[in-house]
Amino acid sequence: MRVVAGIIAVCLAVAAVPSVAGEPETLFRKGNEAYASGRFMEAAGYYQEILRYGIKDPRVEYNLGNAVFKQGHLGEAILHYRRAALLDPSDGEIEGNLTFAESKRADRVVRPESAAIVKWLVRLQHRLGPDRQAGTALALFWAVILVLAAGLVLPGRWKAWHGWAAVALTVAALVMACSWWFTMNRLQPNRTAVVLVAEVEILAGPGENNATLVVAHEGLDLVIRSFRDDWIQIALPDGLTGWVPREAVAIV
Amino acid sequence: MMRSDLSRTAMRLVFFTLLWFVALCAFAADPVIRTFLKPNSGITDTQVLQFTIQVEKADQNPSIGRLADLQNLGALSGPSPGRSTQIFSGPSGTTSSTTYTFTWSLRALGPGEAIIPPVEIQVGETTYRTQPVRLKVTAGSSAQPRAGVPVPPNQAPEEQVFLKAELSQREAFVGEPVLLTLTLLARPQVGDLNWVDRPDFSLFWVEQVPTDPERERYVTELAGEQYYAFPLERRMLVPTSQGSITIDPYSLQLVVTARSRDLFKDFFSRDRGKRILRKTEPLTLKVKPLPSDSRPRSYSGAVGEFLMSAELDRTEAMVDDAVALRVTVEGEGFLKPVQPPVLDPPPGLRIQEPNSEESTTTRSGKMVSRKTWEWLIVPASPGEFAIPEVRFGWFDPKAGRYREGIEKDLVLTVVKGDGAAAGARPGGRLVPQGTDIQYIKLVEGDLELGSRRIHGEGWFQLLVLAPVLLLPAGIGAGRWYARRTGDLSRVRARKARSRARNRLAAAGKRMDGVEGSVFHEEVARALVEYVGDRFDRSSSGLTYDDVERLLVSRSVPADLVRRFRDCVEACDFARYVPASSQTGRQEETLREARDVLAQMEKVL
Repeated sequence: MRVVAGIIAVCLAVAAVPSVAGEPETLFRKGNEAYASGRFMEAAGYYQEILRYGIKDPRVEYNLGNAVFKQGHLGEAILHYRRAALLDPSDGEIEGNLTFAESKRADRVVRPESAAIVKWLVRLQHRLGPDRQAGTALALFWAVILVLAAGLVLPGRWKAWHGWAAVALTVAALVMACSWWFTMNRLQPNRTAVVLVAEVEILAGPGENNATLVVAHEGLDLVIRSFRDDWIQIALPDGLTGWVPREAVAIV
Repeated sequence: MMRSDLSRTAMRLVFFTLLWFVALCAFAADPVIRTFLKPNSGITDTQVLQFTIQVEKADQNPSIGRLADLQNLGALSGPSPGRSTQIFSGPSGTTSSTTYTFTWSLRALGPGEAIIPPVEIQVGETTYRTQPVRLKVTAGSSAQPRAGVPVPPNQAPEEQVFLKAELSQREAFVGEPVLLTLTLLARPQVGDLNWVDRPDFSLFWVEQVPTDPERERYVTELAGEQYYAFPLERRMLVPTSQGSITIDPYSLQLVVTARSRDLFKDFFSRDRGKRILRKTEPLTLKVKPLPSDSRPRSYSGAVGEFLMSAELDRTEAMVDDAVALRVTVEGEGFLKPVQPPVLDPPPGLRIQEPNSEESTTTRSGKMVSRKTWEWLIVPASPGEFAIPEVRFGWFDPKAGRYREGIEKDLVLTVVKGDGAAAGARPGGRLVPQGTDIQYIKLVEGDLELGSRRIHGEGWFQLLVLAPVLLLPAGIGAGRWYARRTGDLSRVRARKARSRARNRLAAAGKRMDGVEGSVFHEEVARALVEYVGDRFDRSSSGLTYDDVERLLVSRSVPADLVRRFRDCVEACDFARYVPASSQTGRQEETLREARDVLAQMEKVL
C-alpha cells in the first residue's frame, strides 16, 4: 500500500512540473504574435511568463524590453535591455535599443570621454563578445604550445623565427585572455540597478529622515555599492553616492 | 589604698562603658545632612554657583532626588557625587565614618530672588528633605564693556573676558540675508567652552558659515587695551517675516586661567582655572516688508543682487530628441526657497519638470548663491521654435525696488528624424539612432536556460588543462629526442643501412662492364663502411680481418660472416682481374651484397 502511495505521489509531482521542453518556445511565439498585433501588454505577459521558467535568453529580455517600452515604461525597458546586453553583449540591436531608450531619460548622463584607443578596444570587445574572446585566447594558447613543440624538431635555420613567433603568440594570447577577463567582469550581474519609478530622491543615508542629495528619474542606471535592510547604496554616473529604497529600483 | 584602687578601676569601667554606649548611640542616630552654596553672598547673574548637599553618618549609601523647580536658576551640570571616609582608632577598636557629597553647578537666570527647593535624600528606608535655600541675585557685568570705559590694568582675569554678538545690519527686508557674528574677546587664557544657551532662530532661514576660531583670531583694541578676538560662530540669517525680531542672548560657560606666557601658543588650553559665565546682549533686527507695488509676475522670493542667463545645450535637434534648457541665476542673496521661472511652451514642444542645482557660499560677509534649473524640451514635430522667454524677478534691497532679468531670442530648429539619422550617444560615439526602437527578435528555436559561456564547457576546460597534463610527457619526449640526436654513434649506426643502400644503388648505375673496377670498389666500400658505421669505426683503416672480428663479436653467424668476406674479396678480385668483371657477374655480386646487407640488418 505504501509503495503504491509513493508511486502515485511521484506521478503527481512529475505531472505538476511544467513541461519546460517546448512550452517557453510556444509562449515566445505567442508573445511575438501579440507584439506584431500591437497588443504590447499581452506580449509582455507572455515574455514574463517565459522568464518564470528560469529561461535566460537575450531574445526574451530584448523582446520584453520592446514590449514594455511600447507601453511607456522606460525604466523597465532599460532594465530588460541591460539584462539582454549582459547575456549577449555583441548584439547590435540590443545596444541600439538601449541607447535609444536611454536618450529618452529625463536625466542627461555625461560620461567622461575615453581615449580613442580605449573606445576602439571596448568596441572590439563588444563586437567579439566573451565567447569569441575565450575561444581566440585558447586557440592562441595552443598555437604557442605547438610552436614550442615544433621548435624541438625544426632545423636550425628556423630557430630564430620560431622564437619570435612564440613570443608574439604568447603576447597575443595574454592580451586576449585579459580582454576576456575584463569583459566577463563587466558583464557580471547585480552590479547595477535601474530606477523604475518616475522619480526617486537619493538620500544621504539609509532612512527617510536623511537629507536629499539629488532626484533621479526613471531609467537612470546606478552602480550598486552595498545593501542595508530595504535600502541600497548606489553611485551615480558622476561618482556621487547615496541611498535609494529598494522598491524604487530593479537590479540588472 | 586597696579600696581606692578598686574605686578607680570601677570608675574607668563605667567611663568606657558610657563611652561605648555614646558611640553606639551616635552610630545608631540619624544622618547629618547639610547644604552649602558657593559663593554664599554677592551672587550675580554672571556667576556659576556650586550647590552641595553633604550627608554624614549614614549607615547606608544615600540616593539623591532630582533638583527640580528651581526658581530663577538654571542647572548647568550635576549632581556630581563625592565620598570621603574617616577612620577613628580608640581603645574599643577602630571605627569609620563616611561622608557623601552631591554637587550641582547652577547659574542665576537674572537679578532678583532665587530659590533652590528642598531636595529629597533617601538613606535606607528613610527619606529626608533639605531646607529650601533662598539667595539674592544682582546684575553682573557679563556683557561687552561699554566703549570708552577704561579697564584697570589690575583687574581680575575674569573681568577681562567678553562675549559679543553683532549683526551686519540692524534693518533688513524680508528675505535679505544678515550676517550674525559671535566673538569672544579675552585677555587672559580661556578654555573649556560650553554653550549654556543659544538663541532660537525659528523666524529665520539659517545658513551656518564655517568658522575656525583658532585660525581666524585677531587682535583688537577695546577701551585702550588689546584683546584677542575669537570669532566663535557666524550665521547667515534670512528673515522670513516682517516686524521687529529679537535675537536672545548667547550664554557661554568657560574657564579663565592666569595669563599664559605665550598668548599665541596653546591659547585654548585646558588648564584649571575659574569657571565663569558670559552672555551677549539681546539683538534686535527690524525686518521691513517687501513693497507690493510694481512687483513683477516673475518674482518668486529672491532678494539681493542677481544676474540671470539662459542657454540651450544645442540649437538643432530631431523630433523626439531631448534638448536641455538651462537657466542660471547667481549673485548676492538667498535663492534656496526661490521657485523656477514659469515657461509657457508653444505647441509642438513638450517641456518636462526642471531639475535644479544650487550652491551657497559666503564672500566678504555676503551670502553668494547660484541656482541652475534645467528643463528637458522634447520637440514633437519639426520646425523652428522660439523658446518661450525666460523671466526672473528679484527685489534689490539697496535700490529698494524690483528688478527683472529677461532672456529671449532662443530658437530651436527641429528636423524630422528619418530613422537613420546620427545622434550623439553618451559615450560620444555616433551610432544610428532612429525615432523608434528596432523590432523584436523573431528567430525562434530553443531558448537558453542560462547564459552558458564557452569557458564553462567541459571541452574548453579540458583544452585549457591539457597542456598542463601533457607537460611531463612533453618533457620526457624532448629529453628522449635530445638524447637520440646528441648520440652521434647511435645516429651513425641508425643511418648505416641507408648509406650502404645508396652506395650500392650508385654502384648499380656503373654496372656496364667499362667501369667494372669502379663498380666493385663501390660495392666493397658500401659493405665495409656499413660495418664501420654500425660499429662506429673509421672505415679507412679497417681490414677484412678487423671486419670479421667485429662481426663475430656481435655474434653474427659464421656463414654470414663468410659470405660477407667472400663478397668483398670477390670485389677486390674483380677490380684487379677485369676479365671477371662481366655484367652478369656484376649483377650477381650486387645481389649478393644486398642480400648480405639485409641479413646483417636482421642480426645486428
